Amino acid sequence: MDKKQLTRQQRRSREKIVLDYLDAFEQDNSERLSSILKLAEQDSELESLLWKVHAEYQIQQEDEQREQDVERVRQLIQQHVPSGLRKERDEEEIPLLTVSDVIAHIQAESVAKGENAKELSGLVQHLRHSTFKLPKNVGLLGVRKLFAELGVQTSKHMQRLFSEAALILISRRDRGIAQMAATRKQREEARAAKQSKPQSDDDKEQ
Amino acid sequence: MEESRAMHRSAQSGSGDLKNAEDAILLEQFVGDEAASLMGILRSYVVRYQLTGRNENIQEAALELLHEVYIKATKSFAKFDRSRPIRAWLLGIARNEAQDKQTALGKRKQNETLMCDFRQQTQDSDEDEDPLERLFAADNTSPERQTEIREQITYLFSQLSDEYRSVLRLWIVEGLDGTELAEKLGCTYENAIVRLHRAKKQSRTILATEKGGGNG
Repeated sequence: MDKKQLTRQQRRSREKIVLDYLDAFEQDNSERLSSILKLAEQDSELESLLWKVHAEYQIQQEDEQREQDVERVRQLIQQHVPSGLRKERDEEEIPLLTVSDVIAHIQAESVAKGENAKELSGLVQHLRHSTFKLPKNVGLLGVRKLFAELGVQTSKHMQRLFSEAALILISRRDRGIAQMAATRKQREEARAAKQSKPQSDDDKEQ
Repeated sequence: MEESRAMHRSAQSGSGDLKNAEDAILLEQFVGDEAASLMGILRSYVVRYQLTGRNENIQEAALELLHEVYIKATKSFAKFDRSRPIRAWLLGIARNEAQDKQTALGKRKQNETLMCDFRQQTQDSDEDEDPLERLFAADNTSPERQTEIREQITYLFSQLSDEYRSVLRLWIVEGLDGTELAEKLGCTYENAIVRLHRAKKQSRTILATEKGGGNG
């Protein structure tokens, strides 16, 4: 076995221990955690790996939690916003949201300051005319995928800003659709009521 | 930085055992340099050990835990063998502090096993330690068993998301290491390892459910 293969095998062994560590952490297996940490005290590479992977693990847990919260809020908004007509007809009248809509909103709200303003102005330059439609999932994962598709690199903070702004615009659009549906329903009811009256007027004229 | 200085002063005044101020400064510097990662890890302990009932207080609880870890660390830093890596040592302290807090909050679950139970558990878990890799590595088995294994793998892959399927295929079948995995997935090395962990976790759940369903 050559040196490269040996290094690779050692790396994989350490990675297996790290995976074991995450399992032990989730299962609250104190004994296993202790033994792995003791091992790490003798192996600085393993120790560094544990530290960085554990930190990344928590970031992903928090991102996932946030995704779930976004989805829950979205469901609540949809649940409590009344709509009278079929969704397809409403959506034809109000155009779908695009990436440039969200960028314009963030810019208008002037949320970004300092370093983020720099990043935002870069994004604006790149995407202000983008007609790319927003995906259904505008949680962090969805936004990450979107930016990957657009070929744009952004910081996690900017991704969060984008996700929040997209959610706000989507909820406004949903409200707008619901209001239009309610208005349309009212108009139709008024028209139906009016149509039943003119017969009596015609009769009178004759 | 302000916070760590305050912690330092608190450790000094609280301890009385603190002989070497340089140790505390070194520790403070380390904590400062690794603040983001350390805070992430401490937040995971706060969540894991349920040290707060509300999501919005997690950061606060993590800061409190950091404070306690720092004080504990400064008190025992003099005894710490400086040639050894410090992070693992700090992780150990953090875990102990989090468990102590959990006990104090009265939320410690009754999951302390007797040694014999633990040994049995360890044996069982060693057997099932990596059911996935056992599944994929089962070469010297009977043809019937191999068919069964193929069916299990097909079922498993059908239940997994595209992402997790891909991660497992790259790790187990193609035998990539973390660096290669990260390159294929287009993410950081740490991100790839965590994704792999999640994929394996979900796979174990799927296999356990399937096994339970088969036996039930």
